Amino acid sequence: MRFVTVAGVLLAIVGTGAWLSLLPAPVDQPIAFNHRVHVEDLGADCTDCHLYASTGIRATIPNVETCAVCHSEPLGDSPAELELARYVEAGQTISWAKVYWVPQDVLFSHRLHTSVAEIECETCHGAVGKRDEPLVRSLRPLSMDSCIECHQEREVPNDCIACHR
Amino acid sequence: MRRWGMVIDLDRCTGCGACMAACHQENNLTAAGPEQTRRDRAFHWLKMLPTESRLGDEVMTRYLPQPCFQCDNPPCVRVCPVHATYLNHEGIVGQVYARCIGCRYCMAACPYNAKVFNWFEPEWPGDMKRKANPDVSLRPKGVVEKCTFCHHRINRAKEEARVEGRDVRDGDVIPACAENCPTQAIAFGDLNDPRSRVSQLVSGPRVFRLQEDLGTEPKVFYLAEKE
Ligand code: SF4
Repeated sequence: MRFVTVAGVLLAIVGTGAWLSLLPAPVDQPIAFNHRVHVEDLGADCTDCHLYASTGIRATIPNVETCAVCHSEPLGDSPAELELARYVEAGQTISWAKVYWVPQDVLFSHRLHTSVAEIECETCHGAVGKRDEPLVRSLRPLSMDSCIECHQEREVPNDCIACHR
Repeated sequence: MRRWGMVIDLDRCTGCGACMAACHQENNLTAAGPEQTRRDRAFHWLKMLPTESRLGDEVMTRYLPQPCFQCDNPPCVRVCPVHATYLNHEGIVGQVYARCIGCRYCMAACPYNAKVFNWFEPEWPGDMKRKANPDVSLRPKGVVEKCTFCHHRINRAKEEARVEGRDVRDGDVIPACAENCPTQAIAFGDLNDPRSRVSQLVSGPRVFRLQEDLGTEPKVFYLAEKE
């Protein structure tokens, strides 16, 4: 019995390790940005900071100018706020690490999916707006399987060169 | 259903090569350089073939621009073992670089020599790579590539039409070669739309296609005075 328990625990550890090793490595983010405060408490839209997510092919990760629209002066005294104030004052680029990306040969149009097909950001990005911490890895895997599955569900074409540029 | 096609007026073409330059720039082609060109590895999606014709005693050199013909019955597609090249529902012969295994069967099958192979890791002098067109991929070494009638421009035009809630109109899609042609010798559009410019041009008497007897059914039509 004891052997079975030990073996079970060992298997669980190995299994979890194997599963974790399949996830992308976590990245470091320069500032402890809180999505939840901005989205849930203050009612911001994703597109308020991630410009062009509804009007362009590529969405942006906000740079210091976008933050400075509201944070030209520090809005509190949390460490993250003070860190941001330092960036704003120096006019220095914030080197956010990208956590969602598609391979180089894939062209994904945000505008086509958000404005035309009216798909919510959460569908591909997960519930980012509920997170207190900045993302260190993607919440949802972006894979060709997930694209194709969604296209099949919605009965939209799966022509290769529509996405593979 | 649309069927994209191209009409090239050879009586207007001066062989200036502006179409080739535009194609190179638009589609992030690398330059093969003199050494590789001597070894017949010149890198063009749109070739300029010189032809000689006689007018009485005079010999006249004329030029024939030749992109991929997007055949309706493409031999290249039939031989691809991995479905990296295929005929899409609008008549474009797609080339999916991420699928291509570089076997080059398609190059052997194409009677028009329309495909090229990346023998080397592509290089761009200076900071040229940073000026690459973001709508077109940078192909790695070991894959076959070719003209796709600037399919990224077709996708862009379709997307813009959908945002504006309308259909794609004749003239919305202009491939880079056609856009840069100083004599407007290249027309592009939907062959299935009887009112499109290309449909009207192909119903005229000056039309011919290359090696029609092969049965490949090219969707690039040439116009020239009949002898
Ligand atoms: S011209 Fe050649 S490469 Fe282009 S579709 Fe025809 S056979 Fe294929």
